[in-house]
Amino acid sequence: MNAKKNKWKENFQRWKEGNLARGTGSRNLRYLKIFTICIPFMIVLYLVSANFLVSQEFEYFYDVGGGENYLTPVARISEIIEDGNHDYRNLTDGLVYFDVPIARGADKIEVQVRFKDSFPEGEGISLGAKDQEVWHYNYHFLYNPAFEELSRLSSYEGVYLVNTDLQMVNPEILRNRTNVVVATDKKYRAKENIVGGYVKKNTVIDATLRGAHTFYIYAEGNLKVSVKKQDINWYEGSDELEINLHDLDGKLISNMTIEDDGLTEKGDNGEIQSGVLEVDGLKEGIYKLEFSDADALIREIKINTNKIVSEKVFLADNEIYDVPAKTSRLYLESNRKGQLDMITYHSAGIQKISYRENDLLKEFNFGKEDELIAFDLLKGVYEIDFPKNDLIVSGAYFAFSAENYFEPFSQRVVPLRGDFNWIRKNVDYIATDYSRPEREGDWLAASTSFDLDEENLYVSDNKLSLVFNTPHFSNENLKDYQIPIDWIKIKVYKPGAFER
Amino acid sequence: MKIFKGYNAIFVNHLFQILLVTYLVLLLVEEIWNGFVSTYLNLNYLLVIVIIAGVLDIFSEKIEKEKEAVSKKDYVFAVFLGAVGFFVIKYKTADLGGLSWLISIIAGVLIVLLSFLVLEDEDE
Repeated sequence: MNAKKNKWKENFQRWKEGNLARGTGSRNLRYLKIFTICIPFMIVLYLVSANFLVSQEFEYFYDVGGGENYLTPVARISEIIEDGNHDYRNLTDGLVYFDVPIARGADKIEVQVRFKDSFPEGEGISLGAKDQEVWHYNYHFLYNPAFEELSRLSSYEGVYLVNTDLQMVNPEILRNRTNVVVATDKKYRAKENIVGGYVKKNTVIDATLRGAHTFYIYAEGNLKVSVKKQDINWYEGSDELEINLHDLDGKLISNMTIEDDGLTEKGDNGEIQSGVLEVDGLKEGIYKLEFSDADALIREIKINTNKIVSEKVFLADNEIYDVPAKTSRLYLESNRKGQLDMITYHSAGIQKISYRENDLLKEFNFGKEDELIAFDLLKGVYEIDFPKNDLIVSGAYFAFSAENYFEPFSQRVVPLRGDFNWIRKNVDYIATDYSRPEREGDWLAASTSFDLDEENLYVSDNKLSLVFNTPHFSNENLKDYQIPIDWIKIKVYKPGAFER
Repeated sequence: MKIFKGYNAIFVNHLFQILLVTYLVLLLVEEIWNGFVSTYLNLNYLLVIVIIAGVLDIFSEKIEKEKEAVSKKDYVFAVFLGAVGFFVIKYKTADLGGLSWLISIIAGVLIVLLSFLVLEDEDE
C-alpha cells in the first residue's frame, strides 16, 4: 500500500516539475485567476438580470399555527391551538398585522388566507395594505357572507350591475357613465366634471364643525383660506389642526398648521385661533382641502371661491361643545333615490330635522344615539335644517348654500359595504375583484390581490404592511367570536423589463 | 503548517481577495439599495465561503512580494475612497438633516487621513 502511495507521489512530483519547466503551472494559475475574476462578474450579471430583466414570482408561506409567529401584536392573537393537521391561532381582536417582503420592481401581490367562518351574522373580514406613510390602509374584502348575493347579479370583468334599470357595462365604459353611484373596494377615480357657475368671491362657512373634514373646492389662480379653530380640550394632548391642499392625484400643493392653544390637559374650550393658507398660481380645476382630526372645533372657514362641498360633515353648533346652538343648513342635489347616513353619539344630538324636498316642507325625527340612521332621498333638491346639530351626516355632496354646491365628479364613488340592503338602495354598480372563498370542510380559503402601482401602496424597507380587519371585535358583545387562521400564502409578482 | 504552497498558495490568496472584495462591494450595494442583493442572494452564504477562503489563505505559504514605492496614484485613490465613504454615509444618514453633513464630512476626512497614515507607514 505504502509502495503504491510513494509511487504516486513520485509520479506527481515528476509531473509538477515538468509543468514548472514547461511553464504550465503559471499558465494554469493564469486560467484559475481569470476564473476567479469571473465569479464577481457572474454574480453582478445574475443580480442585474434578476433585478431588472427577467420576471420573477416569489412565494411565501406563513404557517400561522406553526412555531414561528408572523402576526402582531401578540395580544390580539391566541396561543397555537392544536387540531390534528391544522394547528392554528385565533384572531382575538381587530387589526392584526403582518409584513410581506416586496422585491424591487414588484407590481402585484396575491394573498390567500385559510380561516374558519366563526363570524357573527352579517360580519366578515377584510385585508388592508398600507398606502400612506402615516397609519392608513387600503382595504379589500376577503370574506363577507353578504357578498354571496354578488353571484345573483349580472357581472362582467369585475363590474356588477345592481340597478337593473341600467345596462351592464365593462370597466372602461363604466368610467364614462355619468350620474351613477359606484361602490368599490378598489382604487377607482371617477372623471372630473366640467363645473359651471364658478366665481372668485368670498364664501364664509360659519357653521361649527368637529373633527376631520375633506372639502372639494373649485379654484383658479390665488386661493386664500382663512380658518378659525377652537380647541375643546376633551382629551389630553396637544391639538394641532393641519390644513392640506391636494390636487386630485393626491399631490400636496400647500399646507398650514394652526398650533395647539397651549392647554394640553383636559379642560374648557380655549381661545379662538386663526390661520391662513394662501397659494398662488393654481390651474383652474378641482382641489381637495383637508382638515386633520383634532380635539378642536372649526369655528369658521372663509375661502375665496363660491364652489365648496364635502361628502361628510360633522355639525357641532351645540351646547355640548360649549358653543351656542344655532340651526345649520345643508344643501344637496340627489340624482337618484338613495339614503343619507346620520349618526350622533350624544342624546344632545337627538332632534327634529326639518327639510325642504323639491320645495315641499317636511320633517324627520332623528331619535336615536349611537346608531346609523338612514334618511331616504328622492331625486331632487334638498335643503336640510339641523336645529341642534351634534351629528355626522354623509352620503352625498353637501354645501352650505345652493350657490356653493357643485358635483366634482361625473359619478359618485362610495366605499363598498358588506350590507346588501344598503347596496340595493344606494348603488348602481359595484366594481370589485371579490371572489368567493373555496370551502374545504370547516375551513375557507379566501384570496385577494393588490396592485402596488395602481393602489399606490407604501413599501418601506422592502416590506409591505398588511392588516386583517375584523370589525365585529369593536363590539364588546361580539368579542367571543374569535377567528381561527391556519395559514397565509403570498405571491409577489415582479414583471421583467420587457413585460412592463 | 502550510497546506498550500507555490502556485496553489498564490491561487488561494487571489481567490480570497476576489471573494472578500466581492462580498464587501455587495454589502455596500445592499446598504445603498436595500433588497437589490438580499432578495436574490443570501450574503451570509457568501460570507461563509469568504471565511473558508480566508482560513485556507492563513494556512498557505506566503510569497514574498517586492515592496512597491508609494506613488501619487495611491494618494489619489485614498482621496477617492474618502469621497465614496462621504457620499455613502451622507446617503444613509440623510434623515438627520444638518447633523448628516457633519457626520459624513468627519467620516470622509477620517478615511482619507487614516489611508494617508497607512501609506506613510508603508513608505517608511
